[in-house]
Amino acid sequence: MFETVQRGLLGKKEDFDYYYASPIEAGLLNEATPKERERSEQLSQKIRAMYENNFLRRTKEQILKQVSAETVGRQLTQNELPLKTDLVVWLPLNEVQRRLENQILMNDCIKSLRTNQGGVLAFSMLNMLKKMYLHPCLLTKSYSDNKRLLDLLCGNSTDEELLEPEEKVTRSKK
Amino acid sequence: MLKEKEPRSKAQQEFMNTIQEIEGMVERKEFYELIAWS
Repeated sequence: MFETVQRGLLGKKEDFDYYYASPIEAGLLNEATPKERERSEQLSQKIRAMYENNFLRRTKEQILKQVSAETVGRQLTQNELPLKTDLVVWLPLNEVQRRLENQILMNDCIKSLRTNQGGVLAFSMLNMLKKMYLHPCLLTKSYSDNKRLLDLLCGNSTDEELLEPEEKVTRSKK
Repeated sequence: MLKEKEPRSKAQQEFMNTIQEIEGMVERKEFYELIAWS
């Protein structure tokens, strides 16, 4: 997340693991020595200090008094909500995501969506693309909640096998 | 009668290879390598 918000803040992954993650984790173990625990706490504090400027913590009371006065022009009461502010951050896809996107869009099962037989499959495909944009590991068998769709994209099954029984009946009537 | 399964297309094969590649990375706990990290 911080690599996106402020590139380079935590350094390279290998360096971060070596200098921070590993000693912090070592100090959290039950068998950790007092020295390791102290070192772990010091490093955690150091990291907190590094990212503090990128973190905005506000209490409900602060929102109602300060923020609403800036946005609405007056203090809000307990049962009012402050104005919603959206901040859109565009993230480029990495190499694996670009590859997957291309492979999904070129997949044969997309053709059935174009012939207006998509139905449920269209939503499942959109959901799969969304997951891929979030993190490619959500498409693996260990993390995927739609293994049938994954099989379809891999060519292990047909879209007929993917359909629910009642949808198969509807298709056969057409 | 059972319908004969069509052979995998190039896109399906490539997708399967990429998923297998990612599964290997997940097994090796290389989660960060799958997202942007300098």
